[in-house]
Amino acid sequence: MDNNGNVFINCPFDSEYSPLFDAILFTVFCCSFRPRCAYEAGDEDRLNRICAIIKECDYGIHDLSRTELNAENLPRFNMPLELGIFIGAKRFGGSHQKKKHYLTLDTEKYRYLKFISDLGGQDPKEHNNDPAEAIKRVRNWLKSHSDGSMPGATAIQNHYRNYLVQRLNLLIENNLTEEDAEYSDTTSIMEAWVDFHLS
Amino acid sequence: MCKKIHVAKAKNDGWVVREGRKARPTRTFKVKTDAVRAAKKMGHSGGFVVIHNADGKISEVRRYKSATGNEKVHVQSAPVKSRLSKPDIYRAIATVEMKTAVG
Repeated sequence: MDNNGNVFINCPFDSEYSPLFDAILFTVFCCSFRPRCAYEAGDEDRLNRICAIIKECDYGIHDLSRTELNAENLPRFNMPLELGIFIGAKRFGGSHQKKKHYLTLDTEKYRYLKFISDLGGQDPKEHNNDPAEAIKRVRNWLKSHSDGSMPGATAIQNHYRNYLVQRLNLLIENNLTEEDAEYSDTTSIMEAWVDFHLS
Repeated sequence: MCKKIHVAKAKNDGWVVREGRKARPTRTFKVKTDAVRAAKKMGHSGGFVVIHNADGKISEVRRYKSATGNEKVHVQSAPVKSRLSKPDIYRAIATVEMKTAVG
């Protein structure tokens, strides 16, 4: 790794997406990178804070698989907006910002061309809504930006399965329930689990 | 994987230090505090020291980072502040791991 290892994860934060989000988060830890995301931003002055986080990230993972209409029949623009900010920073930022790298994910390989055709010519990777596939895509992409050793995709998929088996008991041992657990709690538990089992 | 040094009650009398929960004891001590001290010394080169109570339950887990940074995976902390403490989380992980292994 030739830089800070911060990876901005740009994805939805709803319960339907959380299996994919958790799998991506887990993979980033396993690959010795540091996950960052808009959860850190809070609600106040949110856009400025998100921009500050993006500025600190040399890498970005942008999942465009959930840009469909929400419950109120309105499109979800946060992911394309944050992808645009990331690309803008890379394109117009200083010399450090120009070294940014990003991975675009979607459910199917070229589906994005139907709703964000200006991204044509990019090489998005598909995860088919499958956490195991997302792990493979993210791991292999991070490996292409790292000289360090890291577990293979199959090993990370197996570790992630073991983590999921233990997850509920880990929350209980920490006096938490699924409902109580905040992003900071689950992230801290996941990070420590990877450290305990893989380092 | 970095080593896990356990301090546990010996079958007969005293306390044992072993690398791995089921490994043969590396050293035996009359009192727990001496066993803990020896385990921490062993752990200083990098790893986890897992301290059990007399009933077998895990009371504490301490993480020692390797000075040479030779861990297979070098976990980078996310910049978020959890209400859970690191030692409590490690204790929970070691406890669940032990229960899973026994079960």
